[in-house]
Amino acid sequence: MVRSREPSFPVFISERCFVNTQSYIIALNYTGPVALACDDTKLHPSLQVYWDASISSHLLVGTTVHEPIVVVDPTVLGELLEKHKDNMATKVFTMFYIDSIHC
Amino acid sequence: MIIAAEAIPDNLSVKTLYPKSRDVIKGLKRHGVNIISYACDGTQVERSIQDTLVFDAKNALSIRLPDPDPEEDNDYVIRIPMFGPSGGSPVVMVQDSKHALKTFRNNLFSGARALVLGNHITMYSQVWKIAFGDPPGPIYR
Repeated sequence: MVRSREPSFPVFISERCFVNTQSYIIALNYTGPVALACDDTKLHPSLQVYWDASISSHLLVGTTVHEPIVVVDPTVLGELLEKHKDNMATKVFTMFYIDSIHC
Repeated sequence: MIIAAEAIPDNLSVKTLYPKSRDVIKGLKRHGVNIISYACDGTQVERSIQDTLVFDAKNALSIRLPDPDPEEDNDYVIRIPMFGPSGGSPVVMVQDSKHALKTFRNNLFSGARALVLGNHITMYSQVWKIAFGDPPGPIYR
């Protein structure tokens, strides 16, 4: 599959996160122990639009709203930016794993 | 590999963040990913999340380290939560292992003649023994 057409990284914690990890580990043929870790990282708060190939829509990202915000056409963008300017995210909560192949 | 990321505001509480951590651990276990530990740094909120994971888990292992003083009864009990299908398997909570490693290394080689840890002291000769002794230790050479 052309990389740019693959669904982008999941924006929320969802089933797709686990399936991605599972298929990655299966591809490595690794069955050993895995260490999970998490940390926050600071953001420069901003609102951005990006193209999500899995649903063929533009989404607004950078807010703390826990559902996808679809930008249906350019005319609503201004309205959305105005509406969400006070709940811009300041941090990203990230979970990652380490296996002994990559240590 | 990055598993999940979520944009959050500055002021999230343990109550909001705990289910996220729990769901990721459970979700990965459900998909056969063999998670054995969960690490975070030492911030108050993240350590509280670990505490909640430990004490809210339905199943847990209990490991008792007996008090070395026979006249005292201060056994140290470690609770290790179990997550995943059919009773689950243990997930150990750890904090900032890289930082701990760096601190121990710096402390050991700080130039102090006898560094005290509780009832023990640590010395360069012990590190030397781990690196070059017989049987050989786990330090990479």
